[in-house]
Amino acid sequence: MQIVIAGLGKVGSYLAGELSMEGHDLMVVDTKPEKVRNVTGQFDVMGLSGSIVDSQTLQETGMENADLFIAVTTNDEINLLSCLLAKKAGCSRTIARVRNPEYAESLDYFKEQLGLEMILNPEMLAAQEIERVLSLPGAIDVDVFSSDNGQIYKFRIQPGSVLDGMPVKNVPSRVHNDVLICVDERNGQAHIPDGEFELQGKDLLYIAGSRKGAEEFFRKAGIRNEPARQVMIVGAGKIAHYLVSLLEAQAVDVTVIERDLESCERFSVLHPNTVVIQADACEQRAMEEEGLLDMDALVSLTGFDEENVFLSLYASKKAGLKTVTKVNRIFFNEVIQEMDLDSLINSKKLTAEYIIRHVRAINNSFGSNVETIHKLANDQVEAVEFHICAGAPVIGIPLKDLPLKSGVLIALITRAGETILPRGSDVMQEGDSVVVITNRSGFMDISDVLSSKARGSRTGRSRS
Amino acid sequence: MNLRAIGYILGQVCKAEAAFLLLPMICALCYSESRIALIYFLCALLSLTIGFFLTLKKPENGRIRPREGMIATALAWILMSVIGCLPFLMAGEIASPIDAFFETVSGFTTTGSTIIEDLGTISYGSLFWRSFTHWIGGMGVLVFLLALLPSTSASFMNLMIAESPGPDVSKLVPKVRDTAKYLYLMYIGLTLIEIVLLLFAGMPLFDTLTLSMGTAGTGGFSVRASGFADYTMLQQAIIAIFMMLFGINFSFYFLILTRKWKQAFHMEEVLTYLAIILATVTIIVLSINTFFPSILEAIHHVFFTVSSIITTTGYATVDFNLWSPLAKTLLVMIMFVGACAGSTGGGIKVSRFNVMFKGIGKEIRMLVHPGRVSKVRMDGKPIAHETVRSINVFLSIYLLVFVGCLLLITIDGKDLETNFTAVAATLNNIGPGLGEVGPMSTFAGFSGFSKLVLSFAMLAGRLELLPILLLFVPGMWRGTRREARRRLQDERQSRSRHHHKKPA
Repeated sequence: MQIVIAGLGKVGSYLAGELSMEGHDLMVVDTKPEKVRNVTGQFDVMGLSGSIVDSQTLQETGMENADLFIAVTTNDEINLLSCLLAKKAGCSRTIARVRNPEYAESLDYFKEQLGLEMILNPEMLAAQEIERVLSLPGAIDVDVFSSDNGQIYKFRIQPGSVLDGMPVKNVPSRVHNDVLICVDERNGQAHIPDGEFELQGKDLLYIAGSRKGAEEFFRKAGIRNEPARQVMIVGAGKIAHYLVSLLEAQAVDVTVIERDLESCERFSVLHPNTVVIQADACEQRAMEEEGLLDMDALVSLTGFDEENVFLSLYASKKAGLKTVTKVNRIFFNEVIQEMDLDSLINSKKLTAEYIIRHVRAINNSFGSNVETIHKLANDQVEAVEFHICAGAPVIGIPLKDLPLKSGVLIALITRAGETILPRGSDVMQEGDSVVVITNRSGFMDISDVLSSKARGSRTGRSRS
Repeated sequence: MNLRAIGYILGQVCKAEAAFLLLPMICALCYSESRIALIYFLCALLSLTIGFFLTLKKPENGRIRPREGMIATALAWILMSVIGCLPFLMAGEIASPIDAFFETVSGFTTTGSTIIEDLGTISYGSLFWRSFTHWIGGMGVLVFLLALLPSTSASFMNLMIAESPGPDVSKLVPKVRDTAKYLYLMYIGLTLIEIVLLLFAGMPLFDTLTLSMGTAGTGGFSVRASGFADYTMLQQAIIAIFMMLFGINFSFYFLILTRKWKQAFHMEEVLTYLAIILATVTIIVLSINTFFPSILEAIHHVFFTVSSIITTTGYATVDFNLWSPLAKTLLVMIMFVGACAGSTGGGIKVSRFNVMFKGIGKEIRMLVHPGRVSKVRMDGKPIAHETVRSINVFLSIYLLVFVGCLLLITIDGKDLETNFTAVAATLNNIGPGLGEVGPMSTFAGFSGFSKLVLSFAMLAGRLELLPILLLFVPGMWRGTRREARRRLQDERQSRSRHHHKKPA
């Protein structure tokens, strides 16, 4: 696809890297020449420096031949307007990032009036993501698919818990039957486990299932599954604003700590029912006075990565709180992940991944039937959601008889809004959404899961 | 320094050269020179073997930074020339290795300076190979590889930047690979058009092929001992026009192909280039019109010569060594100007002069209004300060290299005109100079040492100085050992981890 990206901040450059790797023809535009040079030096894309709303620049981007335009400059108004101009220049699909909370209510109106494909609000996305993990604190991460029922939950096995040392084949009978173990990540190495695989403490485990199934599984495995009722949020920024709205709708007690008085006042005007406290979150006395250690969860959303990281470490070491940590810099991810921090949130990466998922969905209308792709375990494993079209070679064959490639697992089947945990006797039908877990990459079509020489016996794991 | 990645690229270059060497073999077979064909076949085999061993293991870390790009390019060109000169030696057509190396470098760098005194002694296969090296060298072998190799990495762009001439190499389309492909398609297309036209004009097939390749790469090796005297005016005119066309920035053709006429015909560099040709032809015709029987013939020969010199091709229909001093001086001047950036020609490049003169204008305006803020623009767009600076640095280095080479070859004791134009003709990849190296004579008179110096000048000129000079900067190679050690450690670690942590 031919894609034009305007704005090369963190989101823009991350998108440029990922989308060029996926083989799209990219044109990137930014007003700062050094940013353009930086990106063109790193990735196989074409750069142009200039303002995207300048008609000359717009013309040079070759917008009339572009399939998609993504506006992620720092300025909301430019993002919206440039989408309008791109449309006029002949690009039918446009995506704009709009961050200002004052626009939050008008987003649907903009989308409709300007004919946008999608409006993204990174802070809103981050808030939704945080809300998802807070409602099931045992999970570090929750990946959703186009059908809302089946999800993939990531959590860490506590040493000494019931799962520690258990072979995978015993999990259904000893713990819970209604989820499927997809991936085990041990010391950064991802495995798609078979029945004999022995789970160990400190492993990161990915399970697929419905919300109810996961809650039940967590309960039986001795993992916290009660939603957090008392949450402390540090930093009263945009994410906090959306998050508080989401949490208050579920009657969660929220305490917001912010250093800056003016921000506190603004926040308390918007959320009169929330306890807003002006204090330095790095002062032990203030935090303990506000009952940090009695909370269920701590969400660190200040503008400083290091502050967020230390706050979360403190809260989880001192009181074993569920923590959610906002991290801005993608660069340090590798190190931060080793620090045993619970859930990490990066709104920039989240936005970029959201867009990439959408790009894949568009690509899908050009022949492939992939609906969404999630990358798990540091990109070692992909969870790919396929739409099963008429005439697919997998239809009607019981899973145990399907000749799957090695390292391929059918994790979820969603039929008419109902999630089925696939067993050996289940079949895929036309119109189903199927989530496939694989350590291979580049699956474009559901038929890619089949091994080239169709063997009679099933190569995947059989479940009884 | 990522030596493995460089080795891998060199291996691919060897493989490509093996394929290239098969063409002169076929040519030799057509003229039933079975011994020559066998020699080319053996060289191809040798090249393939070297390539095979260098590409045996694909480096996991394929990162090519600008420095690796430059070093790889410089080494690739030297390696190519060394392999390319073997057939001449094995066939016994050129006795001394230094001479053979000079001749091959002159071919690949599209210079066209020759040390062969009598072309009649050279086999058809070797004549074809000489001209074919021009064609390969014109657009560049790495660009050729980029068009073929499956690459997803942006770092391959650094190879293209190092090999393609011009101060600011940019892509035509988002992907490096597609850009390389388009460049070669346009290159092949233009060459084919020239071949067809020359065939229609009645030129023999062998001459058509070799001269077209020489024109396309702006090389300049002729294939007949008699030079261009045997060809008709029409044939000469076709070659003159195509020389001029191959000196134009290929972005121009791309803009035309994508129907962006307005943008194409407003390219300042192309307009300047055409204006320089027009002005030079006019002045020279006026100054030497008594030299030719008719004004038409004067225009014909002067246009051919100017087109040949400014594009740095170096074909000659007449001995311009005999022209008036004004004409000769002008020719030496346009030797330095050279063709457009992004073309197959050599020289300093028209766009660099464009920017340089605009920079001078800016400085002068600054004297009038000291506080004035203005940016140097090209095609309506402001140019980054770094580009302006790198052009100034390029000119300084160019001058130093020129003076250095001139000093070294002066040891031979030839006169100043010969030495000066010999360095100018090699550093700018033109071919013939004036005096003892004029269009009707050769470079055979120089000593072995001078030939090596001039070979260096040709390579430095073709790759625009920096890649070749970088080879001699010790700082470039620093850290290579440390990197290798760290990589070894990583490998050992990952192997042991793999071993221990294998799932039960």
